[in-house]
Amino acid sequence: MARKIAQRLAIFAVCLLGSSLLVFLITAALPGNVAQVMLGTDATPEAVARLSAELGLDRPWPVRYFEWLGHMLVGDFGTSPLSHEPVMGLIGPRLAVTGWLVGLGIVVAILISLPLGMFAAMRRRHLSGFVVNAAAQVGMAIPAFFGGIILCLVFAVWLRWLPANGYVALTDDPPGWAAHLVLPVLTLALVQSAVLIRYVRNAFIEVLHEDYLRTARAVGWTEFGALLRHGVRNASISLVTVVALQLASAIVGAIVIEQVFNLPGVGTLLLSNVSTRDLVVVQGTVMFLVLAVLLINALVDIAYVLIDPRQKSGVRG
Amino acid sequence: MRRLQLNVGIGLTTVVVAMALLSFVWTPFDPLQVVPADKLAAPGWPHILGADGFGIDILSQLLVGARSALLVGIVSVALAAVVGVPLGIIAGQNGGWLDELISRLADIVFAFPALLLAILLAAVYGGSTWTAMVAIGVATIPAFARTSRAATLEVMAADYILAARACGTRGAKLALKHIWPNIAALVWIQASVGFAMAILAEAALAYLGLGTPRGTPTWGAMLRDAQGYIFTDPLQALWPGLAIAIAVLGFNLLGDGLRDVLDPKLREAR
Amino acid sequence: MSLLRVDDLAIRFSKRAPAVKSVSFALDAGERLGIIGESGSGKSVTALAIMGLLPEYAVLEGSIQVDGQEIIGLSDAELSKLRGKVMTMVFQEPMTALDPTMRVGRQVAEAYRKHTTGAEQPTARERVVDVLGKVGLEEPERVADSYPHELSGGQRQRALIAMAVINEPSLIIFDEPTTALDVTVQAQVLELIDAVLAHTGASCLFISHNLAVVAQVAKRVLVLKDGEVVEAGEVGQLLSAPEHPYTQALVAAARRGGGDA
Repeated sequence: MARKIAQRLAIFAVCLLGSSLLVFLITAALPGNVAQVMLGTDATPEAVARLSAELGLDRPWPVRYFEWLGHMLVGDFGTSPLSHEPVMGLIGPRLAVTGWLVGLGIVVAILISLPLGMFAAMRRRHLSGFVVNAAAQVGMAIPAFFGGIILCLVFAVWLRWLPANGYVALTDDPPGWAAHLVLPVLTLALVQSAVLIRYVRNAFIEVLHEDYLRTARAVGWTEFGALLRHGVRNASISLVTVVALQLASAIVGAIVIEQVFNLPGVGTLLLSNVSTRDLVVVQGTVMFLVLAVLLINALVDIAYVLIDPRQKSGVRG
Repeated sequence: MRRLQLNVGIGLTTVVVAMALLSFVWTPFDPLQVVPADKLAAPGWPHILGADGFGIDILSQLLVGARSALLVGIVSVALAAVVGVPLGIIAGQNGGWLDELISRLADIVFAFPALLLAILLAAVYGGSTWTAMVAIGVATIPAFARTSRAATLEVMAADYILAARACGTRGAKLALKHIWPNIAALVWIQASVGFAMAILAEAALAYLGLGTPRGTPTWGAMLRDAQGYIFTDPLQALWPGLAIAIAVLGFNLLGDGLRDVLDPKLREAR
Repeated sequence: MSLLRVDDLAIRFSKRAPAVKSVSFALDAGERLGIIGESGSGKSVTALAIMGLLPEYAVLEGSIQVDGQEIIGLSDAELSKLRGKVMTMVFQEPMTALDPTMRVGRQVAEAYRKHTTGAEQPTARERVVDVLGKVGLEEPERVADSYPHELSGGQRQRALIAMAVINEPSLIIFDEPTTALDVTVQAQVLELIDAVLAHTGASCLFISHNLAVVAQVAKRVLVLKDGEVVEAGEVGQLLSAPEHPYTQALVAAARRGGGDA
């Protein structure tokens, strides 16, 4: 088991190294002067030279890459040369917004997709199961921003139940915080659950064919009871990986949803710095998000080793 | 019933392709012409689906928007397939360190979402159709590499491959003559699903203002503009949203339908 | 009154040819009946029909009465009250018949809890260990705390038998319970089945493709072929003077030692 975990951590390290190199090469080492891009075409040569010096662009890129990497390893994602604020200082206060959105979004998505996917699996030969499956198929085709706009239209514009956009901190006004998060969280959850339902359905259809489910029924469980007792735990082993992938995609999806509902999250920070061409902040924020995605994948793989009793002793079957 | 997915998929994708083709020869209005007098015209005549906040005909923009969606889809999927499929076949065919290297590279790129890559490229080069296509294409490479690797591994164990190898066929010749024909169907399925993802990603980028710049109508940008009128004119958002959903649904169903028809193993489970 | 009464049972799966055409038999309390036939003869389908475990698209005709109650047409919820308590079934594949993610003791305990009231539930653990010991498992405590993959095939089949008998049902159906086991383990499990039936006084339906195996457990045998009963009678009588050519072939196979019993 320890070997498997070590192996997974090694993959995490390699992926981190590879993706940081990719981020660095795109922003820092490709042709064209980074300082020029950041200041725009009408900047004076003196200003460009000053920024180049400040960013240390005169040194070879491998040196700059390892310096950047070394700083990140101790939690320093760079400092904006335009606003002179450290990137982590910029991300910090916005992280709560994105964190709530993604975290609650995934939880709600699981709460929606687990029962519906189970239902679709049990009733796969009935019209009702088909309808759930078809709805999931249609849901997958609806882009998050369109879904968000529709929810906004129904609940904010027509029913006037909830605010259309904006954010209040939890510590300032808890009910307001909740009210502002309902629509974004629901949007993210619906988009995610459309994908999840299909995985849940397939996982449960597989479990329904298992012998141990028949054993459970032979000693007195109903099909549904047996599925709750044995199906959920077995299906969840294969679903853990899927949820991890969805969590990663939710982090990226949050960037779009923050725009729809005008939330001051990490995605909004990233996009506003794309428009001001602050490449240091863009680089740092992208790397931060990639790190989050990689970390989630690694942790889930490790959790997978821990929850499946067959993996512990190294025996399969 | 079994072919329902496939038939609906073919139907919807045909609609989208027809929209794009029609836009080359005819649109009701000039999709770029600003007519202040027609600003926010209601659906009816002559603006069948109404006009947007600039007074531009919505139907005309929708038709031309299909071009952008399909263009980004075709180029990014082609890029991903041209790079990913050979890599996957090489990995599956040779195994060993080459397989390990390609698989780990795929892992790294896979951990890098298309949207983040596109944002990064847009930050450096400015958002354009090209940055969108490259970002989506590169991010889709691992999907093709993994699909073809898994399929190649399966094919490599088959008797006819063993026979071919016994006759001394190997390397590129084996890949082209014996492996590719047997995994092509799976690659086409992947292409259809990848196409749907590409259209969705392109729309998101255009919505964020990081894809195809203004001057070329895109469904994503139309939605972005429409959001500003959500309190007064919610129908504006409906049309581009529907167009995206129909295109994505169409290619997803096409992929699933093809899988049902082509892969008998999966058919059993349904 | 018979404990189990099957009258003119016919089973079809959607549009395919019927899996069972016309099967009738009865089983008294405490009686052991063997059903023999090759794969596809309809013996397992008949057993699943008695348990009410056939998929919902199966079409059943005729009558199945357990303890005077008609089984055909009962809902899953109604059947689940009978399953485990009145009748139960032990399957062929012990390797896959236990949930790989749950400790064996808990799986047996859940079978017990399903049919007991709250007052008896705290003693479930004691009862489980007791029954695991009675089915011949050494160190029943350790077995209860094991995951299925940590046990051998024979141990798993014993645990499954423990699960089946823990609520002392009146009817136990064994569907090829030894087919997947090694020859030496087979003999032990057959002895166990014999002992358990003698001890509890339960009736038994023993399904196998091997007449030699059936002869060790059951007195009376039903020979099934293509969904119909072709011959029925005492084991000894069938072995010495089989009438139907199909039975003669089965007897010849059993005489050769059964080989794959």
